[in-house]
This record gives sequence, C-alpha cells and structure tokens, in this order.
Amino acid sequence: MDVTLVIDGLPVTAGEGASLLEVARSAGCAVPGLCHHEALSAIASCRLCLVEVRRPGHDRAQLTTSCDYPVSEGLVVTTDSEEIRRHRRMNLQLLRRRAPRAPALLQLAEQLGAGEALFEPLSGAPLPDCILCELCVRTCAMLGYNALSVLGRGDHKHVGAPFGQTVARACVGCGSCVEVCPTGCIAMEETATTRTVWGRTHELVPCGGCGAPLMTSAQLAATAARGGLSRERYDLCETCRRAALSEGLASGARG
Amino acid sequence: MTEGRLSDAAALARRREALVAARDPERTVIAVCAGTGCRAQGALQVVEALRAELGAQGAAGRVEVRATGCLGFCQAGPLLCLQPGGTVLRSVAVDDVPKVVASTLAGEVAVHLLYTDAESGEICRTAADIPFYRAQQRLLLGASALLDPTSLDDYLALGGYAALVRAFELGPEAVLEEVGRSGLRGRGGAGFPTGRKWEAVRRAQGELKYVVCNADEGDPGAFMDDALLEGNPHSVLEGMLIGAYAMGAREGHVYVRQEYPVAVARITLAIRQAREAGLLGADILGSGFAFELRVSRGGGAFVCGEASAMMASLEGRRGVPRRRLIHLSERGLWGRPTDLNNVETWANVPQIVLRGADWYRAIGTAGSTGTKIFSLVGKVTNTGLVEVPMGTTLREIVFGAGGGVPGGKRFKAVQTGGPSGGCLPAAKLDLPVDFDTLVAEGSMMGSGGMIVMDEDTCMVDVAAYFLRFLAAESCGTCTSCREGLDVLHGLLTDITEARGTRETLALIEQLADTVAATSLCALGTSGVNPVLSTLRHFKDEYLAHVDEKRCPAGVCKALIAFSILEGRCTGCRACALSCPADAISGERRAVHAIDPGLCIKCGNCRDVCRFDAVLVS
Repeated sequence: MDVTLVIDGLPVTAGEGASLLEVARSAGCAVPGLCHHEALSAIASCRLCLVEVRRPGHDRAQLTTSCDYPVSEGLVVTTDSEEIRRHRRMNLQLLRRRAPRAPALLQLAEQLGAGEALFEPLSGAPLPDCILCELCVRTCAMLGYNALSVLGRGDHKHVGAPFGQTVARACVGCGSCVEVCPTGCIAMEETATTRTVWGRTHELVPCGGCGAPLMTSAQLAATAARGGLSRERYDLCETCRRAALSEGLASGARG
Repeated sequence: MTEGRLSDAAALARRREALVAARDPERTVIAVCAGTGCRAQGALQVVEALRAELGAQGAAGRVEVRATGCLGFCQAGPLLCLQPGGTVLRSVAVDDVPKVVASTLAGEVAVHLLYTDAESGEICRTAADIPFYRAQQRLLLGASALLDPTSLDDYLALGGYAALVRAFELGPEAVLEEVGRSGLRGRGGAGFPTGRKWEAVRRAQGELKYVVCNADEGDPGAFMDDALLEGNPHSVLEGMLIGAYAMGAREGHVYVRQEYPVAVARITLAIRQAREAGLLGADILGSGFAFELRVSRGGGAFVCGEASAMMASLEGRRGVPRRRLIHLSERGLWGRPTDLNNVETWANVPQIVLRGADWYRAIGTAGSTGTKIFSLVGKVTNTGLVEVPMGTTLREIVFGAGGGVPGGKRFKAVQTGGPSGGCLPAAKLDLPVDFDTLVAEGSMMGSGGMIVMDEDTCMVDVAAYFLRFLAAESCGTCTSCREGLDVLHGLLTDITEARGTRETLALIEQLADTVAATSLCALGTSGVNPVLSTLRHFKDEYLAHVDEKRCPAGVCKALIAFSILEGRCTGCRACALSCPADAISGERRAVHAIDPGLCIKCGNCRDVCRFDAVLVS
C-alpha cells in the first residue's frame, strides 16, 4: 500500500514500511550513511542517516536514524537541520577514530563540514579501518555462506572468522564482502589463477569460453550444489553464456 | 515431603492443612542466612557445625537448622535467626557454634552474639530492635527467614500458591484489574505500569504468548533479584503463573545470568517441584489453565538486560538490542506477544492478588506504590539489602538503615540506578526515592542499586569507572554508544591523569549530548548519566582537576603526592616495610621520608599507618 509523507517540505509517495533512508534518497535528499544496503535489513550502526520525524498527532519531531525507520502515512520528515548536522558530524568524528584514512570518511567529513579529526585514531584494531558496520557479515549470511561473524562486544567488538579462528573455513572466496565494505578494509589478493581472502587461497576457475577468471572453485561447487545442477552448467562467464545461448537459439532456428 | 499431584484447589488446601498440622509452632528453628554475603563469610560451615553439634548433643530432632535465603544484613553475617522468638545472632563463626547450641537448648540467649547498636550502645535481641531493620517493611524479603528455599512444603505451609487459587477464582480480567489498580510498576528500573503491560499482552492477537522473567541482574553491587530467586523462588514462580493466567500465556522463560549458580539451581528446582505437584504443566489445579516454564542462562552480557537484546539471546542469537518499532507485547519472543517483567515485579504479584490492590496502594506513594528493595553497598556502615516503602528518603536509607558512613568520614554522594544512573550529593539526601523524583535530578532509582561514597571518593574517577564498565558492556552495534562511551572514558581519564583542560570539559558535554541523543538503546542514551550527573552536582571537583591540577579527594595518582608528617611519624617502619617501591627511608624511631621519584602512589603507606602520619596532597 502506498502512503504519502512530507520530506523537506515536499510530498512524497512510497510503499508503506519502506526504509525512510531509501525513500528520502530517491526523493533527491542527500542523507549520508555507511552501513545500509538495500538488499539487507537495516541495523542502524553508523548513526549518520539521522533525520527528524514528526508523526501525525505528535507535536514534536523526534531525532531518529532513517535507514531502519519504516515510512507510514502522514510523516513529516526533515533531513537537514543544525541539530541533525551537529550529531552527524560528531558520529562521523567517532567513526574516524577507526578509519582515519578511508576515502569514504574523508569525503563525508568534507561534505558534512566536520573539519579535522577530533579524536586520536585507535590503534591495534584486529582489522584496521573497519568501522564495524557489519555489511560484510550480513552479506555473507544473506548469501548463505555464514563464513564471517561479529565477535566480542563493546570496544572489543570486531568482525572475522567465527569463534575467533584465523581462517574463515566456510568462505568460498566470492568477494562480496570486499564489494560491500564502505572503507575497503578487507584485504583480497588475486593472481591469474588464485584469490586469497580471509586467510584462505582459492583456485580461480577460468571461463570455459573465453578463459578469463570466472569464480573460485569453492564458489562454483557451492553454487552448483545449491542449484542441484552439474558444475558444467556454471562454467561460462555471463558474456560467453549469452553468446552460447544466442548461438543455440540461432542454430535451433536454422535447424 | 511433597508427594503427588495436586488435582485441584481443595487438594492444595488439604495439603497445606496437613503440613501445618504436622508442624509444631513451638519447635526451635535456627535459620542460618545462606545468602551470597553470608556464604562468603562461612555460613555453610556454620550450618554444618550446627547440625553436627546438635547431633552430638542428641538434639537433632528437637531443633531444626535451616539454611535460608538472604536475610539482608550482610554486614553482620553470618546471621542467625532463632524461632520462635526471633532472636538474631550476628557474625556467628564456627567457633561460636557450641555456645549457640548450648544456649539454645537451655532456652537462653547467646548474649555475646547479639547485635549492639554502635551509636546508642543498645543491645538488640530481635530484628525489630536492630536499627538496620527498623525502617524496613520486608514484604518480599520477610518470608526468607521462614522457609527453606529448596522446600515446596515450606512455601505451601506459609500460604504459598493461595494467590494462584485466588486468581483462578477471580478470573483473568479481574486479576488484570487488580494488578492494574495496585499501581505496581516495573522494578527493573523503567517503572512501566505492570497492569498496562499485561493488558497489552492480553489484548494482543495470537494463540501463543510468552511471559519472561528478567533475572539478568547486571548492575555492579546489586543483588536484590539474586536474593529473591535464591531465598524464595516459588514466590517468583507463583507471580509468573498468575501473570501468565491473566495474559493467556502458556509458556514462560526465566532468563537468569549464569554467574548466579545458586539462583539458577533454586529456580530450576522450584520448577521441578511445581511440575511434580501439578502447579506447572497441563490443567493446573483443575483450572484448565496450562503453563510451562523454562530456565535460560545468560552469558553475562550486561546489555542482555535490555528487553530486545534478551529476546535475541533467548532465541539463540547474539544478544544485541534492535530498534523496537512494535512493542514486545505485540511482537516479542519469536515474534509472539511477550510480557517481560523483572524478578522483583513478579514477586510482588502473589501478595497483590491475595491481599488486594487497596492494601497494596496504601504502601508507598501515590505514583510509586509498594516497597522497593535496595542493595546498599559502598562506604556505608551496614551493607545489605534494604526493603522500604517507596518514597522513603535517601537519608532514611543511607543513614537510618545503613547507619551512615563508617570511620567518621563525611558522606559525599550516593550513586543510584546502576551504571546508567547518577550520583547525588548530600544536599539531595532528603529526596524521596521513587520512580520519578530522582530522574529530575539527573539520576534514577533504577533497579535499586545504591552505592554510598565518602569524602575519599573522587567523583571524576567514579564517572570514569562507570564509563569504563559501560564501554566494555556496550553491544557495539551503534557508533554513538560503542565509540562515544569509550571516548568519554578516555576524556575522563585525561582529567584524572592531569591532561584535562576546560576544552576537555566542553568536549565531554558536546559528545555526551550526541551519545544521549543518537544511541540505539538505553545503554547508550542513559550511559552518559554518570558523567552528566557528576558534572552537575560536583562541577567544582572537575574544575579543581582541570584548573588547579588537584584531586580534592586525593585519589587521582597523577595529581597527588604522598609525604610523611614529621609531628606524627613515630618511626615504626610499618610504611617502609609495606612500600613495594622501596621509596620510604628512615631509621627505626626516626621520622621517615618518601622519595617522590620512587613513589608509585599505591597508598599502602597511608593504609598501614596507625598514626595518620601519611599526608596526601
């Protein structure tokens, strides 16, 4: 069901329950945020996507994170105010302790006018530059591998292989965690035939057509097992698969 | 011995009559407090010794020795309470046992073990004479002295489960009405009206509903819930049964921290006893009402006391809070309507149902009814559990029951409400303690932790201690709490280590504002209270640290120096021998001196000096 709300003075229509952050962004509002991904449920970790929301029947607006706020009829939303900016800047300053050099944070600092780093950078974190947004862990879980885990709590919290093991044994080397990481803190090294990530080196399987690296052997095996099909059904890259498909269709039409 | 299932209320009444008839009210009972504090002081050995001595005297059949739950007066432990008569013996050691037994058998009182009020010099025979107990109204803790917590029969003989029968007679709606009208509010700290919570769960759609008991007591120094679960587990169980009946819940969980092994064992045993007696399971007492209860042990994360984190933990996931846009009463444990109440809240329920809302409302204040248990610890003469009517002033608790600050020191502050609470100064001692009053002063009543501090306590150091605790116990999900509390701790440490400036103070205030405004759950939003409340009430002390680089309480090592007063030092060598850094020199009978270059400021010299000759400046 669609609902209508007001964001920064303009009426916006959106599906009920949609993430306010996504709705505001698609309405053109520049709401910052580092821990949200549209494919994953929000955990509201970074505390940068703060907005003010006034619910119908309420006199006062309430400061809230928007990624985990579901839109409903009649909300009046402000995405920018002095108070919002002040808190966003402070939370960004807190994140900068963990990832002082990360381009995404430096860019945000500029955008938000946060100025110089306010606090000493943390040293000795198990994964330098990690801002603990859990995107890697959540993505890995969503893909069904569950190779990564959140460990510890408080200022000892970190991400890594479950139970503090040095090698993520369930990792298939798909690299999705690297893709979603906002600070680029997950190390992944590739040669022509191997990929090393989370303490494991995986063999890269070449495309059966063009020979370019396709995916890791473990990922191919996992994907084939999940699909219940033979490995051969997955051995072409997307370009070659399309080519093969159109070739097949063409030969069928000729035949 | 409890045998067999109780098929209905009449069977329960018959069992109770039989139990009461079989008991001789004149039989001597020596109740030995076996609560945490007394156990640590050797209470279990005293129990063994008493039994052995009575056996040796051939009097084992005449006198019952009963290891009970916490009797509250930890300071005077191991504590004995003799029935009939109610004579209280304090600090009983194994060596005292022969005298205790001899005097008891002779019908006399072991006078040398009676409590003497230090202030009046008065010798007190019963609890009613002891100042610690005088201001108390022990509705919840009182039964502890009268029953063996491992015995269902003891609980039944005292009228246990009569409230459940009464609830069945009233029906769910009337029970809700009664609990609502009683004004009972959640004892876990938030103070939400219990009746309204129950009403919401009862109204919520769903065949399956849960009731949960929060026994994840995590505030440093607090042990109210532990004492209730250890001392009278069936009262909590009965409360949960009544609540489940009123709300239409068929399943319940007790979430208890595993660092409470005795509490875990007691509630587990109580559940087994209740199941065997037909007080849990299908068709309880022939009412048609069915209820099952399980114990889940928490792993010691403070944040699991937060409702949504506890639900996650109960479901077998990481115990982290999540945003609650929908109330637990609609979507809680496994997505079902769930009622979560604290141990002490549950323990109040049977009495409310049995004695009525009007009786209950007459205790306490209009907005906060009933009694509240406080764990009174720190620099206070009488450490222990104090149960008083709501609205009792801080002064009555700290100076009345608590006997004030020991060693002639000056009272400085009382920290209430656990780590997220605040510190209140002497000027606030006449405030009544209830759910609402302390909040206005930047603190809260919370679940009832009360830590007394004397003039030797540095308030900046205290704030840093609590921030350290909270930063370590933050779940780590949100930036504001995880990083914010850690940075606040760092800034406070800057102040205690002589690096603080006015800018540090300004930054603390700015940061605390963001942490309070933008954290995910109450651990963060109220986690700044220790800083803000000390800044509010003890600003001068902060300023002394940053402006004058001086710690008025003589605690912060970077800001103090130890020296020896010439006029007082007798040259006894005690300080020199206790100094781990060999920083103290001086011949016997000559004035000693401390080398500031070697001194590590551990304070040993001050502690061992019997002549107050060590000066901290």
